[in-house]
Amino acid sequence: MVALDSKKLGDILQLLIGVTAVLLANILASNKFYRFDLTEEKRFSIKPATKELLKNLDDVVYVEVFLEGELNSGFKRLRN
Amino acid sequence: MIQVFIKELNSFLNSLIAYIVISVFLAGIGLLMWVFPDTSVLDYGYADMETLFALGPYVFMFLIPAITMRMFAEENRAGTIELLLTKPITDWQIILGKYLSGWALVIFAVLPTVFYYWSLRQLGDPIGNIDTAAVIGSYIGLILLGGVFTSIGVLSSLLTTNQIVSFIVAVFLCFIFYSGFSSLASINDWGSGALLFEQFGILYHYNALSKGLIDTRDILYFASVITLMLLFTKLILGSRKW
Repeated sequence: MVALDSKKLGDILQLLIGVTAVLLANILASNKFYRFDLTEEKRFSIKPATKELLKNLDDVVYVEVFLEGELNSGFKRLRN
Repeated sequence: MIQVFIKELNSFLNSLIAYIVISVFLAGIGLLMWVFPDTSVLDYGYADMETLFALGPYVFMFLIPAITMRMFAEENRAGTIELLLTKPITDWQIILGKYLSGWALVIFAVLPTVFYYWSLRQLGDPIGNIDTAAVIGSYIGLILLGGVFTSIGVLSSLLTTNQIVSFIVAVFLCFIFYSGFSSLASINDWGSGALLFEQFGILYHYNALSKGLIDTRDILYFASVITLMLLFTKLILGSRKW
């Protein structure tokens, strides 16, 4: 049994607190994130025009993507 | 911390390690990128630096453990660790000093490859026809990846007094973190967990950065792995007083 005021307990607690903090930070960041698009033509950002178009749609848009069956993880990533 | 950092950096520069690491890295990457026909950009016909960024991590996987393997292992074996530990500095200062000096050496090795970027820029048709964003993103990725490998190396250097054991453990861990997780995720039994599993690996975040899209989540992932490794290093270094 480890004494409550021992160095060992303190060190292990410090590790656990650190690991928890890192995990929490990652979980929080997965919901709230920011992306810096370095490409000149802003390839990975949504254009204001597109946003405007999407806002003005008055019907439901159906997007069908055919991705089923034996897929490698690259396509699973696309599927998600 | 600064003193430990400078001392470690000096020991690299005085013992040929730095020069060997940098020249082996540059010779290897240079041959792969410009000479060997399978991977050469000149034969490939497109001005991109994919070769450097795809093969760089594999070169790092062997070079970085070679830099870090002696950090604690050598000091433990020679007993000079006692001298260092009795100095009026905290454990964190020792770990960070050693860690940052290793990382600095890695960055020195990467810096000259900026010339490759310049050369490719000149070779592009028309001149300057190269995806600069992707190159910047990949450089950020490569340097962060170097940081992760260095932290793994520092940890495994502390685990043992034998440099060779430390080297092999570090190479293995680097491999697991780099492509091991992605390869495991491609086993077909994970279902929807495959993506989550893949995100534990470096490759997923490295590829995301190399598109030229800097995502805070990817940066945080690299920072997290480095922090975790250094926390474990701290625990093991502190365990001598238990």
